[in-house]
Amino acid sequence: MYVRGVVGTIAACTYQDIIPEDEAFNRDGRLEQYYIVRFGQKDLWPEYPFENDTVQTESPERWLEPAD
Amino acid sequence: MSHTHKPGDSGGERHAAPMVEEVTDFEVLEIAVRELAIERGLFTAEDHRRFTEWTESVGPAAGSRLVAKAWTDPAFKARVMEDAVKACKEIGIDWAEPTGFGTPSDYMNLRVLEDTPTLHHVIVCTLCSCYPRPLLGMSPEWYRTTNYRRRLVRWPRQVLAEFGLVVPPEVEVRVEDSNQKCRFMVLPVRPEGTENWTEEQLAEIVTRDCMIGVALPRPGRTADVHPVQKASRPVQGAAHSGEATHEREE
Amino acid sequence: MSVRSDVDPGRIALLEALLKEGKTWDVLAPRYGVTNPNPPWKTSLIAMCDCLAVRGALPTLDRRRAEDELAESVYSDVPAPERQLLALVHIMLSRSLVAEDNLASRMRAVRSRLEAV
Repeated sequence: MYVRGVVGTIAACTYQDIIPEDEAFNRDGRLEQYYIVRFGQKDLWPEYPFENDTVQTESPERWLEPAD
Repeated sequence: MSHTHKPGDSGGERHAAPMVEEVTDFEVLEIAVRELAIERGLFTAEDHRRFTEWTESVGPAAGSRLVAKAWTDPAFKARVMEDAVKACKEIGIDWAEPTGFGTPSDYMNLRVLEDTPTLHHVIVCTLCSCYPRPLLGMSPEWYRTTNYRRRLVRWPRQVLAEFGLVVPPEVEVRVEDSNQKCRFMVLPVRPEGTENWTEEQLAEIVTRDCMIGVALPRPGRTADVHPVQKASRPVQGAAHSGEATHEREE
Repeated sequence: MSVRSDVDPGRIALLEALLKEGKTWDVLAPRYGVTNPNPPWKTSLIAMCDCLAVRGALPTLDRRRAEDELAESVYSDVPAPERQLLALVHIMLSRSLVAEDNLASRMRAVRSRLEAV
């Protein structure tokens, strides 16, 4: 995944969904929040030439950890 | 051509009289695998009937209508930005179709991305080509290729340039990767020269490519036209050579 | 996209035979002066993909991963709608959702039925 280890900002909370481990059971699974996270293209690709460009992807909470 | 249901005719031939004068092996294969799948219990004939009807019912006209209405009705636009799935019902699109809980690819989490004079969105699904089918219909073939999906995140401006869209450097290009259950559509900036246009006139210039973000709406442009895609690596600031051909509508 | 699917990439005789006929829509439609850009079975194919996913037999992401791999290998020269159909059948055969001999005999039966009308 191209954003691994990169710091981004949360652009939106989207929905809650059943965590994958519980998905097979289809009911009363534990939920987790999903987020849209925004990254600067320059933070993803060091030689990216345009300062302002960004990428947004959607991530489940378990993929995120707080930045310092 | 009339058909009677025979035993084992579990899928039926769900199409109008063939438009070409021969029965191809591909046509036969599709029917055969579908019948075997139904007999095996992988899905039911009713499932298939319902999804086929739904597939035939969706197309980009709905998205165009949504954009045109958002351009002319600020309160509607606010509702779109607040809860896009709910706002779609106002234009006759129900994201819960055809199962009551959406499809296993579109789900029910639409988000509309509003462009501004300093922000241009473009949409991709790097994982598999997810697309807001209830509003835009079936995705175009170029959107499904690994060529587009791998390159747009890394080289967005080059890919846009191949579509004939050059974005000024001071405008932010924001790539939206729909890699989970949200589905996205671009609400482009309303172009100049459309003052006092009716919603119908506005909808005509909002083509599918404008709602993906690889084209901008403008007066007089009522169809998506692409050159044949050949690039397999980024092209720096390419001007198109060769002729543009109408891309096959998906 | 770096996760590999489990699809068996080996060529399947039954499907290769279809390709040898060369009767893809991009060739046939102009021959008959038909302007529809898509063959009549395309919506049925799309619906079938959704049905397989909604009942859990073949989830969308699994299918698309395998389809990407096959599109870059075995079916790389096949035009779009036929490529998607062949890839789907290939994946179903690879996962034993359908059997090659059943498919071959059903194809013969379907063809006689269609040609008898």
